[in-house]
Amino acid sequence: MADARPSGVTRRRLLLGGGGAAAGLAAAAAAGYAVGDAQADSGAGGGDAIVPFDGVHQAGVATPAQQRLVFGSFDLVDDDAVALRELLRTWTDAARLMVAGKPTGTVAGQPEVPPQDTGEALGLGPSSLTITIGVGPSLFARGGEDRLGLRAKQPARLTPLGPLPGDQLDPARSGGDLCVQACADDPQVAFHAVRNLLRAGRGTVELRWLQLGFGSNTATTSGQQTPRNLMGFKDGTNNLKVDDPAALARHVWVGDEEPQAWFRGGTYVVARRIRMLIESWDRDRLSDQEAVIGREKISGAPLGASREHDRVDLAARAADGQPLIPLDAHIRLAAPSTNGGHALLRRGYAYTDGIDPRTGLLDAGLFFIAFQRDPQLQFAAIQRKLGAQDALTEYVQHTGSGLFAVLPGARAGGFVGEGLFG
Amino acid sequence: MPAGNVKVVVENPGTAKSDEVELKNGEGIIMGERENIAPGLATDFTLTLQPGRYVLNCTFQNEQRDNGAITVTGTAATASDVSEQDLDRAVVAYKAYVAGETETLLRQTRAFVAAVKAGDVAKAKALFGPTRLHYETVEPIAESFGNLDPEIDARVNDVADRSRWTGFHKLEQLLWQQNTTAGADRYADKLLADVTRLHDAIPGLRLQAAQVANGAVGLLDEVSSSKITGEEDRYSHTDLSDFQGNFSGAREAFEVLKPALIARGDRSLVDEIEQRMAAVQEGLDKYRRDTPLGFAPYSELTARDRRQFAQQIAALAEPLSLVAGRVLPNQS
Repeated sequence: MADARPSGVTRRRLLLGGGGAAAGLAAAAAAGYAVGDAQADSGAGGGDAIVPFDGVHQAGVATPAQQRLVFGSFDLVDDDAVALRELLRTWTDAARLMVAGKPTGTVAGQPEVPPQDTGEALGLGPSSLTITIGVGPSLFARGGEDRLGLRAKQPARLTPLGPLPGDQLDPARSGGDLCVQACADDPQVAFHAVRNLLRAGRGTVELRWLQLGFGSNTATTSGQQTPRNLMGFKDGTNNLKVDDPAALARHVWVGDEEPQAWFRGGTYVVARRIRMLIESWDRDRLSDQEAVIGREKISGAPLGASREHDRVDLAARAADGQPLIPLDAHIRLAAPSTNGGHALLRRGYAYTDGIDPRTGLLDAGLFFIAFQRDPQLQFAAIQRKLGAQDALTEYVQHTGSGLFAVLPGARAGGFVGEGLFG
Repeated sequence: MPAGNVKVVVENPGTAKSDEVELKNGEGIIMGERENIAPGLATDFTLTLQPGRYVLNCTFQNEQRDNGAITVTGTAATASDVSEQDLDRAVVAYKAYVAGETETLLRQTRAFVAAVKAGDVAKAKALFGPTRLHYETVEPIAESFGNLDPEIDARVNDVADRSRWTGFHKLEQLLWQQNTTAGADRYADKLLADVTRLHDAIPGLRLQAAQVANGAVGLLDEVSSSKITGEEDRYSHTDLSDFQGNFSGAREAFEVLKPALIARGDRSLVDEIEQRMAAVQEGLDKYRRDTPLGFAPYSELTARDRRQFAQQIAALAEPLSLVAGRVLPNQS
């Protein structure tokens, strides 16, 4: 690994186009990243921002959240480490092309042969596409069996989350041997990415589940206007920010504590499909909605404060001695100060899958995505508390869950996950 | 125009949607077609034309119009290397397979139709699935003869006017849903006439290797779109037998092209396809039964196996779709 420093967002996110191209390439070279032959799409509009694929860390973690998500979970068809290696190389090659706004092959080649690339992203530009690949615990052990002969390479903290309070998990929406998170500013660019990786992997992997997200629901950069989730509340005011390398090094990137040297520079992602019982929420009175969250609805200010970014004072009490932020309020239970200082980099998206056919009620909510160094100490510990005590649990159901080790980034000319096979 | 690869550009300059444009050879066999061309749009298709006369038809609101003849001159492309001879042999072998299947189809259709007309519901039911299987093996060939496929094999939701619905599935509905042969005679007679037409058209069939290869992919698409979902034989639930028919036809098309693939150094593609075909057949064999149909009814297919079949067919069809490109002459 040539450069072990955490990658700064400003270097990762290069706007190649017009006069920006030369500067972008120069910055990339200085940072030790290969841009390869990435070229800007000359089209007008906002589609020409490129987030480079290669680097110390994979893109799509410390990348300011794009507007759209397609998240796919895959299972290996055969217990075959050689096929897995080939797949990761194929995916890396295809991903490098797609993040540069290029098709993965011919869109119109021989008349008697299917086009290599499916074509729907043609002309849409790179659209800040990031493709982030992870591996699940089942890749290393299934039923206690070292199915691929890779157990000696298993990241130390990649062990199943185990049951958590409040789980209502659907096995068909949970788990998986591999995951691909595709984020982009254009929904079709993100879908195209997962679709073409699926096609390239036919016979080696099968899609286990797929989730679309339609709006970035969490603030990920400082100074950004905080987005609102489907409950109508601002989300991510106190989230870790991707432009704070020190915080990412402390809470997100796996470092020297990891005995698997190959996995340093990776991270762990927990993805949870959190259905909101929207109809119930919508008829809850405003004061209760605010008490459940612990913030004012419009301003986002912590209860008892006046502005969104005011300090959350968990000790503040009203004249009657009651805490201003109730004991079961979401922000109290989720705050780092009540969780031993542990924090997550959340990067979630709103989702809807239409209606629940059993009831006709909306099936919508948050596809929660969080990156961390230690899923047991961070996500699981926090969720154990939230699932048991959080006032919000009355309005949400965790219906899907995935834990994956997000592989370190690819070296120029190498491929994501190369370290698994060293 | 001279023989060889010809690109046919179809443009609809009008304001109404054109239904279909077809290029047919002297025997009326469709060599290439494009459907549903929107006003103001153009599309194209490419095919290799041998010397002879061809007709372009444009169909609009079910009315067919001849829009001119094309005379192709020159000499037919000759086999220029070993693998092209392989391709010629492949086409000959595949045509022999199609001839054999349609021969069996005709013979069994005669028996099926006789049972229907004799009012023997039980016998007709027993013959229905095993007869259809020989249609399913060569369905893409039947589809190249214009209306023959819908008249023999349309499902009720495929037809615009249900009073004109004919073929196997109309008889299936009478036999299973109404448990009768009453009123079935005219459908039985028409089915036999249509199958005879198909059978008699095979000797004049001109095939290209790419058609054989892409027909195999088409057969797998049939499996994934209607057999795996149980929509094909919704009254009799004989879908798994049809599945075997489609799959056997695809395997045969691949087998005849295999020598050409190997001659072109595509052994790894051959291995991949063979492995994936073996996996499908293994799954299907679990549903073999010692009954006239030879297969379990669709209702016995488990949700888990249904999904696995769908995934296996997708995994097989992807490399199979590369075969045409690997065997086509003068292309890399």
